[in-house]
Order: sequence, then C-alpha cells, then structure tokens
Amino acid sequence: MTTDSITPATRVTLLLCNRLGQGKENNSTSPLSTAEYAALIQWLDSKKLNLSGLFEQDLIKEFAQFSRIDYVRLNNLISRGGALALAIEEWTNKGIWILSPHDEKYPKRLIERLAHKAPPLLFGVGNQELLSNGGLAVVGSREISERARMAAHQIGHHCVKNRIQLISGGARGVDSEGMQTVLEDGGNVLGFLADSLIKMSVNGKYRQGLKENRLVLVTANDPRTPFTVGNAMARNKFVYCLSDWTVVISSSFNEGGTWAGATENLKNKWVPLFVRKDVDVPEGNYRLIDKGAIPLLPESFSGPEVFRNFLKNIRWATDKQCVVCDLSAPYSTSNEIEKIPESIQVPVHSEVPIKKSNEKARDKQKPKKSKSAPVPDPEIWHCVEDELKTPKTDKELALQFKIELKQVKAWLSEEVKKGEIKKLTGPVRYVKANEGVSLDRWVKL
Amino acid sequence: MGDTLKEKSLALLRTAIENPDAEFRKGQWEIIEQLVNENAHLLVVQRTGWGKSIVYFIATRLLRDKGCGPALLISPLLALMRNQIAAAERIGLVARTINSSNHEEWENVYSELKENKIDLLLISPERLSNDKFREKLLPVAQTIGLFVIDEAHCISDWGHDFRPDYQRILRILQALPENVALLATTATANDRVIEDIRSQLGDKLGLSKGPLARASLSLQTISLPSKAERMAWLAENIPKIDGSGIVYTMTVRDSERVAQWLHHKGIDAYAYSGETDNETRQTLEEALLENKIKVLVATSALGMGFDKPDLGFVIHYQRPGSIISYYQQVGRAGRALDQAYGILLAGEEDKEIVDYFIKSAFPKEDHVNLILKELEKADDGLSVPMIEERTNLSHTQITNVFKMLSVETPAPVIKEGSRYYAAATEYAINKLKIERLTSLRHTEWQQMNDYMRGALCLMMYLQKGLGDPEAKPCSRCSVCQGRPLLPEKPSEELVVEACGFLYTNYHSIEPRLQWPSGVAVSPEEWHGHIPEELRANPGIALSDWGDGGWGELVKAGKRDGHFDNKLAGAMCDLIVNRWKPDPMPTWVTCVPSLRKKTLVKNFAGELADLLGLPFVDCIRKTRETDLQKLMKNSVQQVRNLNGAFEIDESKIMGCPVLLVDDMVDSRWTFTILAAMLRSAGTGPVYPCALTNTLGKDIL
Repeated sequence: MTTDSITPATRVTLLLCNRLGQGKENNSTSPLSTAEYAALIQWLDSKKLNLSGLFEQDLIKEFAQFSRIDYVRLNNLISRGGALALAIEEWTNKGIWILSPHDEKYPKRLIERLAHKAPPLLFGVGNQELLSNGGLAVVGSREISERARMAAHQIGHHCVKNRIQLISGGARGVDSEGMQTVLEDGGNVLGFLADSLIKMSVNGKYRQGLKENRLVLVTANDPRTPFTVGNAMARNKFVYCLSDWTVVISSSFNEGGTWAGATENLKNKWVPLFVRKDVDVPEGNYRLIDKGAIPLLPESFSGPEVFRNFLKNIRWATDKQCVVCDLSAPYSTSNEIEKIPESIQVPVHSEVPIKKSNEKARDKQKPKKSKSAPVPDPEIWHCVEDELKTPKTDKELALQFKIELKQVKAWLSEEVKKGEIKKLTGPVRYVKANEGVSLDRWVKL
Repeated sequence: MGDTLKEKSLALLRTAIENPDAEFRKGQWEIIEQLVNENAHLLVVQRTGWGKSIVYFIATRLLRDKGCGPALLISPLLALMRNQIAAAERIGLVARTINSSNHEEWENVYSELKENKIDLLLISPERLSNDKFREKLLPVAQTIGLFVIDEAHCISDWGHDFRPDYQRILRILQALPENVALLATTATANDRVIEDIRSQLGDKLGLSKGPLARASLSLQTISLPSKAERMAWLAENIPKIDGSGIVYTMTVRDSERVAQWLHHKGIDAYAYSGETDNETRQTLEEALLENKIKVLVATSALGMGFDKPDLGFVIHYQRPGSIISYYQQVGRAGRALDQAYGILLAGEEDKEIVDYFIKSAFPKEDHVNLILKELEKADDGLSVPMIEERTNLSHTQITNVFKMLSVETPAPVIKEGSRYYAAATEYAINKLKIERLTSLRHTEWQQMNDYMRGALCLMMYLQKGLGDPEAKPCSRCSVCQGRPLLPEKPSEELVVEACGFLYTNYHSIEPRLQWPSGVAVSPEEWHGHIPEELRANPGIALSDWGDGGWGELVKAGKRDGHFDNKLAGAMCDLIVNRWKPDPMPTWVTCVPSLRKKTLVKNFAGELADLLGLPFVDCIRKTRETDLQKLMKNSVQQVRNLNGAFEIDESKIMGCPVLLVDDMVDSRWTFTILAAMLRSAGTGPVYPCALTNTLGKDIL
C-alpha cells in the first residue's frame, strides 16, 4: 500500500472523522460524528462542491454557520495535516487501506441500507472487491455447544460448495469457526471486525487467504482500537447490511451482541434472518423465531444442494431494494437486482413443516373452492386489498372483515392465480403483488 | 501585508545573527515568504553555512506568531549545534529535542508540547521507525505547521547516503496535505538526486539551488600507498597548516590508530567515530569549534550539519567511495577563511575497503529468503533473537535485512511490538534495483579515481560532478597552480618511525563473563554466569588483521601455512617487555586444529622456546567444527564448539598457562577452553593470539 492509494476525499474524511491518535482529553478536538459528517456531505452536495474544498477557510466558516458546528473545532480538525501524514504512513506501512463513501470500492449497500448511518471510514486488509460481493453472514455467541460448532462448519462448507461468500464478525466462537472452515476450504470470506485489525491481519491463519485474495478483513473503527462491547455491538449492523441473508447459530435471550444485532435487523428489516432451531439451541433462538425470524432446521443444511434450495426459495421474497445474491452466477455476486417471480415455486425437497401443512390445506381447499363465489365482491375486495399492503394471514382477514374463512381462502387463491396477490410462506400470508414484496412477510407486526 | 512580513523577517535575521546591517542572501527571503504565506513545499540545495537553519528559524517564528503549531525538524544530528541554538533563542524560539540519548527528558518535552510551549521539535529519523515513539508523537503532531527535513539527499537511493529510515519519512511527506508547509534541505545533491527527490515528493516541489564552490578552498591529491607513509605525511604537515581541522578515515580502527600516532608525535589529535559515546562526541565537537584542539581524526560519523566556519583543513587519509561524499566532507573547509586546504591522500587499501562497503550495502538474497521462510512458518511472528536461534545469522545481518525490507512497497514484513510477521504479499528481491545501485557505486569509484589523476582543475571536476552550472577553474588547486601546495613525500625517517608504531598495535583480550542463553556447555553443562574460577584471565593479541603492522605478516602466514618466525619474536618481546602478566605463565599450550595441524602448534612451540617455557600439547580436538568465523552469533558460535575438545588431564600442570591461537574473533574458543582447563586443574589461563579479526561494522 502506498500512501497515495488513499484518495483526497478519504484523506479529508480522515481529518474530519478520525482521532488521529489523540486521546479524549478535555481540550482535545473531537472528530465529527457519523451524523455530522453526513450532514456535511449533504451540504457540500447541495452546493456541488467536494471535500477538498474544505481547505478553503471561507468554506469552513460557511458550513460552521449553516450547521452550528463550532468553527474552531472544524478548523482544528482540518489543520491536523502533520498527524494525518504520520497516521496514514503508519497504516499503509502495515498494509492497511482506507475507504470512504466516495471511493469506488466502498460497498454501496452500506449506503443503501444505512443511509447517513453508513460508516465514513473503512480500514481494511485484503481484497476490496469482496466487500461488494454480499453473501451469507453467520453470527452467534462466543461460547457455543458442539452441535452449534458443527452447524457453523457445515454451513461454511455449503457456502463454499455453492460459491457463496461468508460474512462474519471475526469474533471468537461461531464467527471464527465459520471463517476458518470457509478459508481452509478455498472459499471467500469477509470479516467485519470490531477491533484488532492489525493483530488479525498478521495472524498466520489468515495469511494464505489474504495472499490468494479470498479474504478481506475490515473495520469501521480505528485499526488500533481494542475490544469494547460498544464497538462490537455497533459493528453487528454492518455485518447484516453487507450480507444477503444472515444465520444466527446461537443467541442468548435479551442480552449479548448476537441478540442485539438480530433484533436490530428484525426491526430494520435489512436482510432475511434465519435462526437455527435444534435440540441444543439456547432460549434466544426460540425467542427470535417468535419475533419473526425464519427457523433453520438441521435438515435444511444437511447438504449443499438442500441448503442452496433453502436459500433460493427465500430470496425471492426479499425487498426490492436488497441486492440479492445470484446463485446461478459463477460466483455469487450481488450486483444484480432480482426480478420477483410471479408465482411461488413450491420446493420439492422442502422440509419446512408449515409449508407442508399449507400445501395440504390448499389441496383440501380446492374442491370446496368451486362451490364459493370465485370472484370476490369488488367493494369488499377493495378493502381487503388495502389491508394486504402488508402481509396478512387468511385468518386475520376473515376475522377483520367478518367473512367466512373458506370464502376468504377462495378469494385469495383466485387472486393469487391472477397475480394480484402473492402468497408468502413461513407462516402463510398474503400480500398485494405490486407493492414490492417487503420483508414484513416474516415479521410479525 | 507582504512588506510588513519582509520587514519583520529582516528584523529577525538581524537579531538572530547579531548584525544590524545584515541582508538576506539570494533566495532566503523568497523561501521564507513561500513557506509562511503559501504553505509551500520546497527543496533547498545550498552549501553548508549558507543559512538554511536561519531560514526555517525565521519561518517558524512567523508561523508561530500567526497562531500555527510547532515546527517539526527531522535531522540526523544529535542536537542542534550550540551556535544554531543560540541564534534560535535570540529570536525567541523554544527548541527541544527527542532522541535516543535524552530519555529522561522525554516526558517533560511531551508535556511542554501539549501545553504549546515548544516552537521547534527536533527528532532523529530513526525515531520515526519506533512504534512507541510514533504513538507518543501522533497526538502532539495534530498542530504541526511546518515540516523540515534535513539532509534530504538521504531520501534518494541515487544519492551517496541512502538511508532506509528516510523512506518512511518520504512516505510521510507524500501523505502531507496542502495546508502544511514543507522544507527539505541538503548541501550535497547532484542533478540526478534532485530529480529523484522531486519525482518522489511531487512536481509541486519548488527548488532553490545555489553554487557549490568554496572560494578559499585549495585542493590537492597525493598518492601514498602505505599506511606508514600517510601517517608520516600527516605528522609532518599538519603542524604546518594554520588553524584546526579534520582528518577523515574510512574505518573506526584507522581513526583510532591515526589519532594515537599523531598524539604520540605531539599533535593535539583525538579520535571520533560512531563508537565514541555521545557525551564525548559533543565535547570533542565543541573543542574543535572553539579551536581548543588541533585535529579531530574522524570517520563519516562526523558529518551532518557540523559547521565550523573557520575549518582550516580537511585531509582524507583514504579515498571515499564517491566524489559526492568527498565533497560533502571537504566542502566544509574554508567558509570564513581566506585560505583552507582540502587534501586527498590515496592508499593501497582503499579499494578493498570501498569494495567491502559496496558488497555489504545490500543483504544477501539467501539471508532475505531464509528469514522470510522462517517468518512464514511462525503464526505468531518472530523477534530478532528468535530468528538468531533459528538461523545462523548475526544480529546485524538480520536487522539489515529488515531495514531493506521495510523500504519495499508493499511491505513483505510487518513489525508489531518486538516481533516481525510475514505479510500476505508475494515478495521477490528487486535484483534489478540492486544491480543498478551496485553498478552506480562502481561508477562513482571510477569518478573518484579520475579525480585523483588530476587531469583538470580539481574544484571544477567536483563542481561538474555535482551538476553545478557555475563550474569553472578555481586557480587555487595544485592543478591550476601547476605545483603541489604541500610536499608530496614525507621524510624517510618519519616513515620508519610510523612503521614501528604500526607494529606496536597490541591489545588486551577481555574475558567473557556469561555463557549465551540457550546453550549448556560440555563437559559439565555450564550455563549462565561464568564463575571466576573458570574464567580466562585478560589476554593479549599482537595485532589487528591487516593493520599495516604485524597483522600483514599474520595474513601472509595464514595464506602460506607457516608463520614467519619474526612473529614469535615479536610476541615474545610483547609478553616479556610490555604486557608482563602477573603471575607469569610457566607453561605453554595451544588451540588444536584438525584442518591445519601444524600451523599454530609450530608457532606455539617456537614461542615457548623463546620464552624458555615447556610446550605441552594437552588439548585434543575430537570432532571437526565449522570455521568459527562463519558462525555469526554467540549461540551458534558456542554450539559449534561445544563438545569438540578434550583435555588430556595427565599432561596438565597446576600453574599459570599461556593458551595460544593464531586468531581471536568472538573469544568463545578461548572462553570454553579456559573453563575446561581450569576445571581440569590448571592455574590461571592467559589467552594469547597473533591477531584480532573481529569484524564489526567498520565505521
């Protein structure tokens, strides 16, 4: 890494947002927060200016007035050129590159999903291309059972077989088990770390992966940052947002980083969340499923094909704005936005019990259907349709509109055939077709 | 605004150099103005004494008055010279330094920096390669308004003095944004070096360059092959030259020997090298500045920034490798004098010395690959001692490899704490670059010899070589004058005396006190501290390898397989008349060799005869060993010898013994054998060697 591989915009971002070695003493100048930085970028955009313009004193004054951020503070930050040069030289000397949202290789999905909460700076080692490749995030607690470890391994293997990148938080336990497996197997890994980037980057375990461009280690914190709980929690969202799906192997209930990250994801609906369901899982797993996560049974990852299909069948239901893994590509890339298919593909090998029972229900439904009115009453239907902006089960609709359940089911079935409504699984619900399927389907509102 | 600034600057100049009528030299004001008003990045190539430091003192003062933070000065000097500090103080600048020799003051300096009390912080380049220091420096570097890089030619590997530490400085400078000013200064850079620096620091780098000639400097070259001749010449001619000056040598040993000789001949001369301790160095520098001594006999360690306006002479005892290093040293003379001498004496050993430097400039490819291989194997990295244990490389060889690797981009090795780790890059030595640079060094040596030949004006030759556009005949040198300025041949008598002096180059062999860690020494598994009853007594070595005295005869003897009997005579004389160990040894034994069975034995026998003592061959070598001089660190040296010897206890005597060997290097052979002999029941053991071959870095 040469010092000039860091773009001018990124250098200014470092000046504004990084401590550059300064402690948190009283009279020190505190760097801009993510929100303040975002405000600055927006302001500059509106004036059609870029960051380098900030070396002009007048511009700083203007922004200070506009944003009410202290002028002295801004000026101090931007004048730290000496410290910047020393810091940049030290980082690049250790092989670390630095990206800001202005750089081409900065993963766009962080901006798409987090908007102004996207980290202004990413420090990393390894292949930058991998940042935008999406993949499967595998997360879980640091202390895990033997079965949990096996699960992480298995899933790791399947990822490699299906050429899906693994994303991990790099922590002890589930995170690093998954990473090791995939790396040893020859697959790609994106490790988003909360701390100790440098330490990890010189670890012999990862050297091969780095050399072969199959590994990228990245952090949003200063490379020298030691572990703090706060940082670990904060980085969880980045792990989710960079992925296409996330699997929780094991989670505590109502405490710990895994729980916090998973619930955050459910709240924000970033990516589909699978949670392992097995005889040994801790309470947290069950609770997450209650909250709307998709249960992941051992049968679903008993083999690479099975797992692939499992993922495939989930993916069409994701929000349009999510960039989705294309499993048919030579290597899973996430640069294409999937078209949402018109009809459901009922998986042949699916072992999800709920689906089965719905299939049966639907089969049973058919003969009865012919006896009810095939086309719903337009007035009533209009109201029902409105309700279907967010997914609802047939029971909910029946209750709400005081219509007979079998009548509702008949109407729904008809509308699904026409393509006006989509049928979602796990649990079975219905939603308006042209609303763009949202992630709500699997979240209980 | 600009006028006020100029007036202010002029006032500061006049205060600083205590001259109410002083005016700026050409270019000085422009540099100050650009630094202060435009945060310019500038390279200044001007001869020593032009006033580079005044420029950055004034710029710093003005920037500070504007409210900027302190200036950071990176210089290889230990401390600013006293007259420079005085000038800085006169204009109210508070200057502090952080270097390896003022640890106790560091905390104070950091506090003062935080409190914004310091105007100019001076650090040495090696400091920037130290992680801990960087950590401390970083927070206080937040407000630096001006970077000053002294001896900037060290950045360029086209230059004569390329230093790996400067590569890190270069990278730091490349990362400086436009709102921090930069001043790079040097007195010695030819066009190629300047081009190189500009290409690395960016084309926005402004250039200020001045002429190099020293009007009052008179040059001459003299060829005197032997050391004795040159030493005689120095003793004869230095007293004839007015004022005080410097004699430059290429090696530490030479600086010591020549200083001793001159002192012996009544000239107030002192040795100065990288091996002199810091305090003494400072004392000597001041003494020379104040004309309290006549001459400093120095290696190139006396270089950077040493500025004595009234330096009366610079004489070179041996040819340096290039005319640019020659100029850097000789160009110091005559700044403020009407007449000063720059004399180059060429000796027969010069080429060998320069070749050694050229060869050892880059670490061997084998060493690099070996170290990288070991690092790849280690998941948790390795420290230098750990690498020593795993390889047969010396501490210096290992650090040289890391110095070179630290310059490569992307870095193949990363340092964290005290350990090195293999980075995840594919690395191959840049053979092309090494060849280019080696070839360059050979060309430069050629240039040096062309200078010696004196076909044209000596000063003009130097100027042209350095790309000075104002090169013209000087009319002062021996070539322009058509005759020698100082006599070319020393008196016969003095040469003989110098010869004799060279032949009295004996020194003590100090006993070792500690076994190396990690080895248990046979036959009794000794380790740790070496107790007194097993220790060798202080011993004696007759000469140094290739010292121009007895060392030459020893060299010949090793080559021929038989030592001239003059050596036994000299050794006997040394023991009986000068060394006079007490108690005197009563018998003689020697270190055996399986390879050359009779070489040392014969010599020891002869010596015993002359001393009138019995010679007892009581040590046997039981297995072959590798050549000790190939063993590069203590652990390897001792392992090589461990268990290779056996004492025949029936033959030993319980009284003091002289233990003879031809060479002494690391002293481990003597240490192990002394312990074994003592343990077997002999009296005190006196190590005795013909010559000392310890080859440290010879500067």
